[in-house]
Amino acid sequence: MRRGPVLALLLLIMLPLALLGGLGIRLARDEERVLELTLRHQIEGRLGDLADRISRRTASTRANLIDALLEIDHDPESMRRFVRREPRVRQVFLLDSAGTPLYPAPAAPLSVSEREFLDRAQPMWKGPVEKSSTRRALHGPPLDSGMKDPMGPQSQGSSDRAPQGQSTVGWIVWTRDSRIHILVLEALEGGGFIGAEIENMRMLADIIADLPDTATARSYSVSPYLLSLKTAATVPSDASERFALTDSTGRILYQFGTFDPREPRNPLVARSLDYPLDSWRLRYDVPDSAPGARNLNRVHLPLLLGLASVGLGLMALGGFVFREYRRDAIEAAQRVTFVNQVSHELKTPLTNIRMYTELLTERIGENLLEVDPKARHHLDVIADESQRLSRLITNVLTFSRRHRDENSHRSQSGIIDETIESTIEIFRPSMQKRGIEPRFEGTCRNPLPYDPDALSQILGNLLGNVEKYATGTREVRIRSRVVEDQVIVDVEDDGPGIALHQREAVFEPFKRLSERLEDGAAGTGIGLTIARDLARRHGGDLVMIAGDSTAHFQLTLNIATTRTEAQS
Amino acid sequence: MYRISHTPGILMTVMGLALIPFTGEGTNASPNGPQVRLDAGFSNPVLTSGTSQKTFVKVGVTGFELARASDRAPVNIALVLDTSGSMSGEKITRAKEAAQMAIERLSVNDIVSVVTYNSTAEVLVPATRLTDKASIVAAIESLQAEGSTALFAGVSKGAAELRKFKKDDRVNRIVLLSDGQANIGPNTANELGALGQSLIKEGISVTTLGLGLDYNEDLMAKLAIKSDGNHAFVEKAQELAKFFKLEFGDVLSAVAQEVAIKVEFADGVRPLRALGREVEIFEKSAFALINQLYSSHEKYLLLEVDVDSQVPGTKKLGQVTVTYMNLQTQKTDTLVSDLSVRFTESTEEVASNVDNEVSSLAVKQIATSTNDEALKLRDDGKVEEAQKLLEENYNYLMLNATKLNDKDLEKLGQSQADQSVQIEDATNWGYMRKTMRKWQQKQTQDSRY
Amino acid sequence: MKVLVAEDDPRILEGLIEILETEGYEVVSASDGAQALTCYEAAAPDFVCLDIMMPKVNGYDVCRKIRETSPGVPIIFISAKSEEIDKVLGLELGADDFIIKPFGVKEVIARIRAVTRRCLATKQPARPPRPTFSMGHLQVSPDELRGQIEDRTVELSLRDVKILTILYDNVGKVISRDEMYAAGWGLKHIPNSRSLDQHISQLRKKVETDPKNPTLIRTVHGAGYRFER
Repeated sequence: MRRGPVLALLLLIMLPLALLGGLGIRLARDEERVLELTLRHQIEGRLGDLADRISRRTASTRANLIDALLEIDHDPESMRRFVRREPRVRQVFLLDSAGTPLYPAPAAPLSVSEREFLDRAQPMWKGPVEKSSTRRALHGPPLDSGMKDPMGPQSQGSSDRAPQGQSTVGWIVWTRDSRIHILVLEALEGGGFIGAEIENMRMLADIIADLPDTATARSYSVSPYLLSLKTAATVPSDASERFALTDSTGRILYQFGTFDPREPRNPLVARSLDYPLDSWRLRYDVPDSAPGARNLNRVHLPLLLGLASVGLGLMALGGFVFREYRRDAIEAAQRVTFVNQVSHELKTPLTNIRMYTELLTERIGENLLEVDPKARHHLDVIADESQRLSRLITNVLTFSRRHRDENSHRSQSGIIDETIESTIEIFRPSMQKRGIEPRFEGTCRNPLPYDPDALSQILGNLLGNVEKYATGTREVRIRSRVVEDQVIVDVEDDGPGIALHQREAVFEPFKRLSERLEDGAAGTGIGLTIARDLARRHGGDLVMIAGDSTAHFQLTLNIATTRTEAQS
Repeated sequence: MYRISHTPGILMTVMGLALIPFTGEGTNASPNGPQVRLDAGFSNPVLTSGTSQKTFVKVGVTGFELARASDRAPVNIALVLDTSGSMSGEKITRAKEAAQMAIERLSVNDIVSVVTYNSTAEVLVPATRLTDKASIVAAIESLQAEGSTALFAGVSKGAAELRKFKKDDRVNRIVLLSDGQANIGPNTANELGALGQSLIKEGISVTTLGLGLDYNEDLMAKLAIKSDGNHAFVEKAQELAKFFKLEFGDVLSAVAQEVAIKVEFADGVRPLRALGREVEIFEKSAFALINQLYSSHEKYLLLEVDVDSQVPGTKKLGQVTVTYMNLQTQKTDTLVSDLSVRFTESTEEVASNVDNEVSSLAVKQIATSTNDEALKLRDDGKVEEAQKLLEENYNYLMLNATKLNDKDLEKLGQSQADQSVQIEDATNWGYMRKTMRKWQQKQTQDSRY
Repeated sequence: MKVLVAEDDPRILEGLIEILETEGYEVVSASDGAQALTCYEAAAPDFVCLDIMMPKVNGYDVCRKIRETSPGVPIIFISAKSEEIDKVLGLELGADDFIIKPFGVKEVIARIRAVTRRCLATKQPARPPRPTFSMGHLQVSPDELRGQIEDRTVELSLRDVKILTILYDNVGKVISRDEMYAAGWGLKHIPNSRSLDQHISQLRKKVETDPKNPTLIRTVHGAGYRFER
């Protein structure tokens, strides 16, 4: 089996498979991505819902507090009473339009907690509140100057960082020592502001009260939705998950769900809360999904099955083609073997015919010539024809072996001219009968390395052609000479020759220049093909030289190559 | 009842006695039903004139007696139970038993909710009337223990359940059980204390039961103190039933709640600090909130005041106003009392008129805060200094026990001596610390257990 | 000289035997490879002609086996397999030459003579090389199986050489027919009298200037033949 076709066949199977596989994987990945995005979308929806709940809570807290604050009297006792009764605030404050606190007043006698409040909050509202003194809004647009107004150099206290504050619709938020402080603020008619500091723990407890607990978390879960989508990649088989609320440092404030991770991890989806709690985040976590059988089953199994079936189909097809090819190849080989076999089979009887004819000729040839010349002639005919048969069989065998053993031939030292002469001798009788006289001028008398059988076969084919096709020629001229590392043998006759445009075609196998009955039914069309093959194997060539009306063939044999071959 | 001073007071006593039928003092009965008794006075009702000095003021409120158990106010209780992994085994079994037993004591008018917390919080039994005890008991029975400790979430959910049926005429209580360190959500003493401080404003107290040796006693104590609840150190799971019983005993005997105490001082008197219970101190006034008063049980606040030099004679130095929700009558009652001191030149009179009871309370509270200091020293590893401090505390208490003829002080002194010995052992410190915190809480809050 | 011929086709074998005997060789034959090996050991021939495709043991293996014991004995392969590789293989086994079927008689004779020359050149020291001798216009090189007449070279068979040698060695004397037979055919062969005459006739055609009037090989009627200077 030759490698080329096998390779081609393998490629035929592999390439489409690879292509399909690649596309399939792309598709599977895209599908996974779509599912991931859907999942993400779902989760983001949930988180958004939670964030909204929290926003509503903070908004309503503010609204309630402001309503209540606007009701109270502005004397310290009333304000204290308010603080004692209002669990959602730590402290209440009153500012004049310049931002100076009226209550708790720095100059007045204060309780410990009031004093602490002043320390905490005073530097904060100076800036943004001053600039907003002309505004009075409950739900107005954000105070433009108040955004991100750092109070760096004016900050007091022991924190490492200066409190930074933001002020929009009625909130003031700042972080200190990684704790957030939240104030509600409301402008008063007639100037000044009233506000309160939010008790964070209470606010968180209220938020927690609004969020689902483990029991109600089930209705919040994203898992059932996903499982019904038959996704594989991101939801592990036990479908546990967790929603969590974290503060600005990432510390969990509250969580619900069936998953309790012990190590820090990256959330699958996360988002910040709305202002004023935007330093807090909501996150959604799932355990790392275990890759494995489940994934395979869900997504890749159909893909693999598809690929496998296509692959099998292709392989079947390829196998079929291969088998056919192989069958053809075997048949061809068998045919060749058959031809070889037949030729070998023919050789034994042929050997005997030739040998015994010659022996007989030796024995009684002379006598027969004297006694019965005609009988002798019959004997000669037998001898000639058996030789011709030999040559034909040799040609056929040589032709059938064309594609093998391209470069090997056997050379031995011999005298070129002798080989040429003995070949000519074989043809002389039959030529002479047709009135053709072979004339040989040889200059290759020195021993040279060459393959005598090849030379003999080539020359034999040429002379045979002359016999068959060179009608009208009286002689055939053969010359041999050595030029550098080549032997050149010319065979020329005066026959009709071969047309110029058929110069190359004449060497093609099975090409007989004329099928016309009268142009000689003899010839298989392989003679010149073989002759050229043999010449080329010998490192030379056989060409037809353009001539006028003559047929002129030139054979070159490479002696240098053969010399090295003989030496090696 | 008004405090009667001795010498010129006899007359007043007679007068007062004469007035009794008209004023209705001396008994708890009033046209408006039983009343809380207000007891305000100085450790030194007689002071030296002509010099500025410091003295103590005690304001005590005592719940009236609950005649019949059936007279009690309905309760609104949220049981917040730790079901973290460390509770598994005997602890959770005992906890379930104790909770179930406690619920058996409640009646149809009561409202109960059960919240469990581990890694997450779960409202096991949403706030509901006790019409179907069996299902609640069954729900509690189904509890499993596993996971972390989201204590804050549990308390938040418990408070949310309470709020559903919260009314002034009900006793609102969260009973929190924990055996370990809170590790999810806010978990420091200050944070939980701030929550407690917020809860008490809406009349919710949190009683904290710490089980075993691994709970955070600072957190549990502070949460209780700030919300005016009880705190217990439950050493063994078998004791849970007892403590639940004690707690429920308190809750079911509440007669007044949201007791707001305001003390206003006259010119020349300044409040310096409060001892024991936390009090808001202003320039000339003080304010405190006591959440619940139990039948026949007194809670008090103690202030140290600075008095300017006065001329001899009786001077009204201040006034106490107490408002509270009367759970019997479901009305808000108000009590008022004057704070007067007689100034004399006679030091013997001053000495012989010392109010031992108030003085004792002062000593007790001072000793308590010393005990807290000793705890801090021991935390810092200064074992010897802590021990020394406790020994000094012992001496202080024993001295005053003799002076004031107070057996309680003696007992307290002894306990300080014991503690001094026991805090040396490092492996024992966890236990000792819990013991000390519990003791501190009991002293400052006047818990019954 | 003794030749072993191994060939499975009986007719080809027969033909080869005739050619060789006509040349003047003593022939031992075998029809298969096993027989060939047995005969080789028994007869110890001077060279061997082997067919390749033989039953029992093929020609290559026979060659190998022979080479184990006698690396120097010349071997000619006769075969119908004319593939190049086979040729090479044959020669690599140490064969001296290759004859491809179908072959002509002349081809066989030429190859055998070539081998014989080599044999004679490398023969045992026991037998000294024989120099060229002159018989009239004919120069005979016995070990080269050649004769030279002026500028023409004549190929001679072994028998030819033997006949010429005995004539030359006994110059002037008559060699009886029996003696001729003995010299040319060996004592074992008693062919009919015609073969001698035929052979002489053939030989005369080769070496005599006028075969009808021989000068080198003269007939002595009733006695035999004689060479006279």
